[in-house]
Amino acid sequence: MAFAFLAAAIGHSQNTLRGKVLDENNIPLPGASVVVKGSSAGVATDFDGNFAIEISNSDAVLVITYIGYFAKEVSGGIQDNLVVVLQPDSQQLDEVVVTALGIKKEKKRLGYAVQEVKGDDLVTARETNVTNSLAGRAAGVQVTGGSSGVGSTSLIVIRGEGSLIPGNNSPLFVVDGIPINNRTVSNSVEGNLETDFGNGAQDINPDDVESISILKGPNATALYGSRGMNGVVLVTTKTGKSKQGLGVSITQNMTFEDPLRIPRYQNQYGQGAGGEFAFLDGFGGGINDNIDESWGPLLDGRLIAQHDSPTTSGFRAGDFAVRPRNPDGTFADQIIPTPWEPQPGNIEDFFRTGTTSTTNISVTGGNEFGDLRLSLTNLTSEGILPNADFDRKTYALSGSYKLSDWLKVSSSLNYVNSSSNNRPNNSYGTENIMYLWVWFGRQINMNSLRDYWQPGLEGRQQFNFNYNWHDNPFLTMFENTNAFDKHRIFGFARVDMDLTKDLSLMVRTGIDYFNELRIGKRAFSSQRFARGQYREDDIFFKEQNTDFLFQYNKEVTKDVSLGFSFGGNLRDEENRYKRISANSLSIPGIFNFENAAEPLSKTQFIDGRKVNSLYAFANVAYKNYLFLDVTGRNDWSSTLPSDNNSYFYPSVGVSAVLSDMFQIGGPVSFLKLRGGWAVVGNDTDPFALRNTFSFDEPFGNSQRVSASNVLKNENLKPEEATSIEVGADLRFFNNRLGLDVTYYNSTVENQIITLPVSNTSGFNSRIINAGEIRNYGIEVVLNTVPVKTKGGFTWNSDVNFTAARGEVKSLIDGLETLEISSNYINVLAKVGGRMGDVYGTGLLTVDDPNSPFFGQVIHNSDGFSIRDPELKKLGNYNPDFMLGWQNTFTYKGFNLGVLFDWRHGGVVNSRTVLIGGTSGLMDFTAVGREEGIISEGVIQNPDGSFRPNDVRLSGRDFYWWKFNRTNEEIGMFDASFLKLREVRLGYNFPSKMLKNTFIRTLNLSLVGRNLALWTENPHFDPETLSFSGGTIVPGVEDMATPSSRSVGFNINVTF
Amino acid sequence: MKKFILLGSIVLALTVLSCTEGFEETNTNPNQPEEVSSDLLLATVLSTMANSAASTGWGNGNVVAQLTAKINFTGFDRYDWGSESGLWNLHYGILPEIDIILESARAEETKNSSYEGIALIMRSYVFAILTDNWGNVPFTDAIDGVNGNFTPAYDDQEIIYNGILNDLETAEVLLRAGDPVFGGDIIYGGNTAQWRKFANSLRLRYLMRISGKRDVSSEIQAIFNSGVFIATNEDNAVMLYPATTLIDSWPVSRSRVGSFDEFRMSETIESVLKGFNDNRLQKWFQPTDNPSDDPNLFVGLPNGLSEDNASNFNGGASNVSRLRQSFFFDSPNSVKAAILQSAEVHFIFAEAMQRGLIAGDAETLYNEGIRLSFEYWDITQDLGAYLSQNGVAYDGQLETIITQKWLASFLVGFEGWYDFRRTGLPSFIVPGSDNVNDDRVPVRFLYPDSEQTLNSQNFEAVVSKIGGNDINIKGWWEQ
Repeated sequence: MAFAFLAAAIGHSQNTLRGKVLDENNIPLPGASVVVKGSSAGVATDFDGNFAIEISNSDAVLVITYIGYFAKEVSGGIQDNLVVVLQPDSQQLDEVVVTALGIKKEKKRLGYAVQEVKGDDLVTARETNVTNSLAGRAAGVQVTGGSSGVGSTSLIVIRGEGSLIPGNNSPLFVVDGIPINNRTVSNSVEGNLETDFGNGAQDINPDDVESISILKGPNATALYGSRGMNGVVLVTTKTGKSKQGLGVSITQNMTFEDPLRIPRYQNQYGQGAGGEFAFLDGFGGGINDNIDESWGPLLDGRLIAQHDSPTTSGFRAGDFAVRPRNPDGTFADQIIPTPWEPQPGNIEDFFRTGTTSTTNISVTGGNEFGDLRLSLTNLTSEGILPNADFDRKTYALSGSYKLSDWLKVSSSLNYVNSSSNNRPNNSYGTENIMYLWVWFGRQINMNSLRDYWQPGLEGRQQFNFNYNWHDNPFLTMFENTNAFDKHRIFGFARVDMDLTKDLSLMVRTGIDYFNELRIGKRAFSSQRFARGQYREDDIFFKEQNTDFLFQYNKEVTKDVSLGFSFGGNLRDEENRYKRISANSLSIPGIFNFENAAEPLSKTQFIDGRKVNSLYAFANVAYKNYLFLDVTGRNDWSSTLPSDNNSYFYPSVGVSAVLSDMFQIGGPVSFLKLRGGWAVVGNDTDPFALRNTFSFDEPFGNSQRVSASNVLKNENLKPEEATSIEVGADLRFFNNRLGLDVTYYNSTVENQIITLPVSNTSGFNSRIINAGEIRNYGIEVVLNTVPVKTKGGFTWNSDVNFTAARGEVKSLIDGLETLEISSNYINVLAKVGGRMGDVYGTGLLTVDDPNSPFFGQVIHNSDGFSIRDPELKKLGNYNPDFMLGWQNTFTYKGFNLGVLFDWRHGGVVNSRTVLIGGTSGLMDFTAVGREEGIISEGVIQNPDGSFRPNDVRLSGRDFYWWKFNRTNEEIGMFDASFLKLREVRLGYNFPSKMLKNTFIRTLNLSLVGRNLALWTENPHFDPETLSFSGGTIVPGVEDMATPSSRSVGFNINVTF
Repeated sequence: MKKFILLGSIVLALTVLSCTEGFEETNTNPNQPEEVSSDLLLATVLSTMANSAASTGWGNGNVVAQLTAKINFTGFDRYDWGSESGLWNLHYGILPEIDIILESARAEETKNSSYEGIALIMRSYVFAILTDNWGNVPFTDAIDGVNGNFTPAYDDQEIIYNGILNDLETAEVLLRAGDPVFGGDIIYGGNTAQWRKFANSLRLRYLMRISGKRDVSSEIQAIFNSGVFIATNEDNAVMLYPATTLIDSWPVSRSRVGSFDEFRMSETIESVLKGFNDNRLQKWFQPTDNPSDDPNLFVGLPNGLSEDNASNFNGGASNVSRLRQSFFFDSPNSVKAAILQSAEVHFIFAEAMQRGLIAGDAETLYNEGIRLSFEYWDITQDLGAYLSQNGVAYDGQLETIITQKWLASFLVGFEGWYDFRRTGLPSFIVPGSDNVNDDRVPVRFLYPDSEQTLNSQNFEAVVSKIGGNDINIKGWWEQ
């Protein structure tokens, strides 16, 4: 009996079947799926198209599938060394994409453009902020990386800026059907500079992303109603579904970062003025030691007293608080002068090599009833600025289970803990480390500042090269820190019911919740807080969405199928914010509120929003080549007046697959035309209806309030964006060439804007419905396979091209110009102008076209140019076009990916160049110091005629005047750039090699991001953002931390 | 089944629809009140305006009057002027609070003639600064956004002065009733008698301002006769900094040393103070830093030098006197924020007498003005000896009076500049050598860019009316 059993077992013992999968041209298909029908066993072909699968008996049926090809079943006495040839399916080629509300649809049915980015593109050569990974990967998507290192906000704008409110153009981020907050919660605090703690979407862990679907315009997003105006980024996370049986994956990614571009400084002259400098106390007691500019002596090695020169007392010269003094207060010791030498690498020396390590372990499993995925990720990053870091730990669990043949439950839970011990400050001022490099001495050896306390006064008195204006940069980074610790949970619970054969119901509730604590510390002797500071910001956010959806699908006749859906959503959002600050402390080094030496400063608010929605949509398909989609959604928002809080958003879309309707033949393998019309909208922020008074900090014992400087409005209406979109999808030569072209035209009307008004009216602004902005553009996606050899070499080239324009059609009666932002330069919306137009001040020029001096700068009789108070147009910060070019080369187990990102056109104002120009630090200021400079242009004679300027100014006077910060025109640069965004070289180890190991697949990649930059200016990366009053302002480089270049490797192992 | 589904969807839809009940509550701001009492607003108005008087006095006010000079960031000192939009915004920005106090004080249920009077005084003070700095500005139509006027027209300076003088007169009368002030008065602690003196003293200031245009003698005489004016330093419209926090401290003390250090003793004031052996020299300034200098060496910096010339003057910053650091920088509350002092009132009377506008002995009031200024600054000085010196002793010349008035205007807004524009005195104020305004002292600021864009029609109308948005176009009272 036992033997019989054993024999039976042996008889059923598994056989290994080997085979090869080829395409119609007999080229191997790597990654094709081979599954034994009716079981959970399945494998994928390797790069040679080979597979090996265990089958229990020779009657087994194999199902071979590959995207874009007809599935093939092989049965009946399968032989070893099986060769399977798959035939292309131009219909199925239209892969399934995720559309609004998470509904998967065949791409060919859609009346609008959707682009997907695969998870693999996010994790191999990775960005900490997943938003950055989208740069260059999809047409119509503009991503601008932030300017304070790892953890910065990344700004994403889809199809241009439709809003007149700056920073209000973010698309909606949705993860597995649950909206995720993508706000950058500002940290604008009186007394402190701003800190960028990143945009909300950076909590999305790239390792858990299966795919990202980008819904670009209202036509695609109409079902999101009031939230769909700026597009939607739909993130689908990985589940256990794709894997049958147990799967374990381990990924280790390690990258090293260094600054991509550092401004070019001169190395001929050191600190001081008039060619003179000698340090005494750093407060102006010496010769020009109050001056933080580099107009001092030639760096020729002469001996000069400097902040780090030794003294006869044994202290450093800059140790002013501990050096011995005479009774009259003068120093009793002598400074021993040291050589005055160039330090060409001093700024580079400050930066360090950043490192980012990401480890992910995931376990998946599934069977016919359910699936589960558990993923743990640990990211630790050390920034290129010393003591700046970013950590993120992610726990993700998702799973589903079929409780019965009509009922399925699924759930997902993500817990993200992101934190940093120190995020650098932004903008112009002492707390920003980059501010120091435009007010610096070129002779300063950076190492001299590393020991940043004066001896015996640790924690109390810093040591520095200048005490009038600056903090020691190492003190700033190591003591004056901005930490945060954010705990975020998002996920859903969902039930799917098949009520009848044709009708299903989904009910789901999802939550996005976070709590973030920010802690700011400032040491004693800091410029802004002489007695230190301790600050806490406590941020709470919760949004809950509960929705249901009935879906009914029916094949009415053989040719006509019909789908109808009806659903609703309840959205409930709650915000709480509290900031408490002790702006001076009793005892150094103790950071808590009990140690406060003065009454605490505080800010607090809570707000909330509720939006209820009902929606329905229908689709009709005729013969599987003609498709019609109709949607309608009604929202009710708590932020709008109760008699006007309901609004309806319809859309219609048509798709026609001409290549199936008619026999086109020839090189055309697929041809589809699509078009649609849609309306979406927007509500407003909470509390926009009635004016209130705000509390100010008390003055002594007197509590104070201020009237609102914004006039609110009880008669607001919802905003409305109307869009049309048409497009064509063409493929030729068996899909070797694919061209997808989209034209869109979207008009946003009745915008709810905070309209600036003359403050002589008693208000700075009022909230109204006004303005009409038209956005239109062309998006082209060109996919080609230029080379595909039988030997297995393939080159895929994918180009995304975008040319977008935003046009201001109207504002409000009588108003021709609206100021959108003014962070140094003014971003103005002028009727007839383009969104993103930048205005600023410049110099007076000869405006008589008949004058021989036409166009030349006018100077006064002392040789100083004359400023022109009129604002003039300096350009537009948006690019004329963007082009992303992804190349993928595969050969055997190797694959090489090269991504270029080209943005052409646009301008950027560089504050670094402007200020560094006045202070004698930039390289170009070394010219003309000895002999003086005659500013180019003319002088106006008393009779009104002109003569060439003939007055020579000292170098400092010339550059101070020319690069004066009010001469914004001189700080403008072409923002065009070409970046080598990404290179990755990967190798998949052949399965043969892994055969006798536990390892199923092994991939090793060398990766690089932002490896090269080509742009007009040598000083900074024009891809940059600035911050002003909590608002992100593009088009200004304002003491930006250099962007970084990263190189590293990625290893992925699966078992 | 179908019925069940239909019922189910109706239930779900109704659930969604019925949930709008809480909307009103969700959208009611729980953080901020919709109505407040006047005391909370008054504290804001007074602290803002007094602080602004002292801060602008410290900065551009002293510089344009050449009481101090810039050693760094010399643009303003060289008359490279813009719109000073920050000041514009501050002044128009505080008017709504004043108007809300006024409205509440006039409303039947909250009627209070003292708050009404105080609001009228502060309103006049704010508009006077606006018109003295920019010329024609929105006045009659200003602060009317609640009624839909977002583009107020500009009024002539004369119209504005008529309104200001009228309101100050009304305010003084309203304050006579002595309605109680319930709080927020961080200048006079609710003493309405003091507010009456302040109202009349401001009126004196503005009457003198327009005295070249209009016969103001009877009004000045009437105030003089009434005795209701700021006669002693106890009457001064002065705010003390509580210095309990960053916010309620003398702002310079909370800034960087470098910002404090940009301002230096001017060569102009050096020669006057040294010439008069005036001990305000040591009160306001300190000897040079250079250890090899005489420890009592005071050196002033010429106004209006280029960046390079200012830095390198006399061999660099260590050879130029700073302002007295222990008083102006190290201490958060040594400096008082003065809107109007008794010394100024006495110099106004002295001038009125010197010019024969009113009857009286100019010398007595002139001497008293000097004494009050010394007292205000806590100066120990032999007054008799001081007053007997050449240049100080009253000689019947207006410049003698204005020179002392100029010294007494130290840290008081732009008062020194306004008197210079009106009288051309002190005549020793001459533009610095590197000025970029053709050796003219500017007489106004440019209108802000925001008016160019947000109130463009009225902006263009006023610019064409006054003859250009230019820093050299004189206002009505100085023409």
